[in-house]
Amino acid sequence: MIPDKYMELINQEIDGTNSSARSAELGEYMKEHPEALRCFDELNELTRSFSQMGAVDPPAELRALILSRIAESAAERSLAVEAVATPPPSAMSSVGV
Amino acid sequence: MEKDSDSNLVMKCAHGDKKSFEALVERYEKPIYNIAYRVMNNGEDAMDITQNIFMKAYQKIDTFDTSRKFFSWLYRIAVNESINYSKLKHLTQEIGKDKEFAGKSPNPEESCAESEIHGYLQDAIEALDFKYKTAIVLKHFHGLSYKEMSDILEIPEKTVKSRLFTGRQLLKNILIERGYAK
Repeated sequence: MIPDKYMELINQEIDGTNSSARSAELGEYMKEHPEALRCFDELNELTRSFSQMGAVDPPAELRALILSRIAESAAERSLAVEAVATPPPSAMSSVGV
Repeated sequence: MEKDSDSNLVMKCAHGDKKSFEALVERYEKPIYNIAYRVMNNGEDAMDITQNIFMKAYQKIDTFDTSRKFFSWLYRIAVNESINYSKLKHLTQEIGKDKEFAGKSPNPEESCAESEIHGYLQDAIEALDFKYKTAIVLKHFHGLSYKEMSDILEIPEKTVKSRLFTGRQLLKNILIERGYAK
């Protein structure tokens, strides 16, 4: 069982956020505790695999779909604004306009 | 020519300039699609979610606080939208009204034999609880700092770290259980 403190140091080492003093402290600990070194290697390998997965390209048609939905939404919005700005004649007569 | 900053584009968009929003879509389409793709492990779902995210962003653009980072705001919408979509999808599957939803669209990575391990990893990520999954995706597929993740997820940095560290450990355990790792 690796103490929480060293699990945190292992994870921060993988993320590159340990200070040099913390890195050295972890290095010393791993020299004496092979299970900690093994854990570090395994997690490090896992995170390296993520970076090798890279980014996926979105389908070519996606941008057009987004922009078309936005255009529809904008058109609906401007219709709604127009409707508010020009109330129907019956509404005007009911308020004595 | 120098590119407009996100804040400039957002301000122009809030004043009705649609071209500015198109520029934001162009800039963030890929990372946003990738968040949805990694979280859902499904290209069709990622397409739907990405459209919903940009629709929400467009509709709420005038509520964006320009003193903050646009990408944090957009990523937060992305995470929330992915959570909502996932919940709805599970509910739909549970009540069995849409069996087709259960089928996955072809995964571009699955067609490539050399990427088999990536498929295992992606499946393992999918098996994680949402809070761990989003931490892993934001950190490892988007390279965000603890601080940026804290802003996006609206949780303290300490919680970000805890979710990330636990998420990694859980992933490792899943891979071992499934025989993909020792």
